[in-house]
Amino acid sequence: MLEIKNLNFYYGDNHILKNISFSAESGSLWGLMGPNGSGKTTFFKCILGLLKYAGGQIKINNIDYKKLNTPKLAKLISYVPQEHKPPFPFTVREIVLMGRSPHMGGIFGLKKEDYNEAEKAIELVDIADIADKPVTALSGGQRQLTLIARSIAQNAPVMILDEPTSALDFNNQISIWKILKKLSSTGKLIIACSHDPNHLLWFAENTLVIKNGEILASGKTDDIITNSLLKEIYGSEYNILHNDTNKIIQPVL
Amino acid sequence: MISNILGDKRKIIILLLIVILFCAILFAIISGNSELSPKTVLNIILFKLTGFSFEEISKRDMAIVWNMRMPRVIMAILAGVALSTAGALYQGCFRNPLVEPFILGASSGASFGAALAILFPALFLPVQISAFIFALFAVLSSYMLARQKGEINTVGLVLSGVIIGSIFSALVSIMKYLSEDTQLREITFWMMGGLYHASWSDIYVNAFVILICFIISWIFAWKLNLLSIGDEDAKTLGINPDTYKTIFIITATLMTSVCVSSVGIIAWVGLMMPHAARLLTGPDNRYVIPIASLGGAVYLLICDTIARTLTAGEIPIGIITSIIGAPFLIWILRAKSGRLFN
Repeated sequence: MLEIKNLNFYYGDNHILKNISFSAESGSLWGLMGPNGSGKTTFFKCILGLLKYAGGQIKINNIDYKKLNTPKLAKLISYVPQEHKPPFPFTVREIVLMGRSPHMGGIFGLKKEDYNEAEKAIELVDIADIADKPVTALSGGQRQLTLIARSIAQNAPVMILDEPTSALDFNNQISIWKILKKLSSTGKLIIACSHDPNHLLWFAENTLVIKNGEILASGKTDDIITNSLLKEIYGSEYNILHNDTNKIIQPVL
Repeated sequence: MISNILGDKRKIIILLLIVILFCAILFAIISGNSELSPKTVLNIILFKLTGFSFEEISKRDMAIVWNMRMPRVIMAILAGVALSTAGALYQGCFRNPLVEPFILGASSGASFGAALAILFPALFLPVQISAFIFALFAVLSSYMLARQKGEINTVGLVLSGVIIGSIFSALVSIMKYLSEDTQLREITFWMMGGLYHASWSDIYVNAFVILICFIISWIFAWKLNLLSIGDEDAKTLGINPDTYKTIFIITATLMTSVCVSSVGIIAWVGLMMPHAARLLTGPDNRYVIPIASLGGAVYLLICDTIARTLTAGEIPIGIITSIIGAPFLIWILRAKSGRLFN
């Protein structure tokens, strides 16, 4: 589904991404982790076609990115950016409807199907109660849920989420990960980054770890997130506790 | 469901504004130094459109309605549509609700062009064409100044607009300094705006450019929505932000320039009407653009009628639009800012 070979990205003289190679199949949920400034967002923006990479190749559905224009790419890959406040008070419903843009045609473009898809996304993320409120009047977490719903409405086979749960309360964090897991089981490839490695242990079957613009590890989450890896990424000691069903990371106090 | 009901409410507002516009047109044609009855006016319009008339039309009435008042009315409508649509386009592109159509220097460029033509009539360039050329030139300069490696940074664009604007303002000041009393008076009047020069030949040019630009803007209104939430959002939703920014800026600039060159600088309309529209319908540009345009047309029509009937002489329309517009904007800023912008 997604194939990345020897991806390099420079910002001025800074070598941000170094020879990244990575591939992932549809129907899987990937967690991306790495310390602040490791290049996670840059990595995402290259995959999304927002940044022009210097060397290497990205293929989606076996099509090279160089052959894809912006409208075509938007049908294949959707994005949940870090939460931000738009300057105009669009309602939640209008923002979610914007997710239907890549599928629109004609002058006014929005068909009944588009409204239905937007409604379904709103129901799935459970924000029907705020659907007619302007997003400028909502909390950061509610805006994040709105952007997730927009991406779901976009209905692309690949979904990229940049810290989708950073502004959410504990319960909403868990329900978003549950939704992501459910979506991946319907055949989507989902890559989400998170600063809580517990989320990856609980929900993401695969994990990709980036540090200093290089891939430190990638594969099955259970094999990858270990005491030694956490020590290597963050430089402090952590214990991974096991119970019958789950693992949980605990700092050594 | 709710979106359908909302859609209907917006359509009702558009219909209502069209009705108000027709009333305003009739009111504007009736008003003036020589009173005409609505019946006479309607009869003349009917005669001109279909060649059929219910009663004898005097030559004098015909001339007043068709050659004097009608061109002003149509020009007011066109200018209202042009400035309001351009305002909505610029505000969306710049993601800033306080941007107005002259942000990129169109007004100072046009003033310079007009002053040049007034001061040196020997150059054989009529005021209107000279104003148009320099308005366009000023905006394109700002645009080229801000464009780097094919990307357009909006903050850079505003900044280059300020720079270009102040250069042309300074040039206008030099011209004013050099000009004689009658020329100075003419330049000053031109800069305050007015529809008194409106003629049918102006209208054909303006109508052609402004209507085409309006239709383009309306067709791409949904893309303007995407652009207004952010470049990266727009791109991941399938539109190329730089392409559409260029389309919108060219469209808005053409409208503004052609309108400014015919009627001078009319302040406030382009800033005010998109706000008024958002207050009525929310920020969806598919509705903001037509509603702001209709509102702008009605507003300018009323202001122009006041401008030519309030006193024996003619008050520059820019003064009226500002005097009525400023309190409205203050009200928005104080009472409704939360609903309109951050």
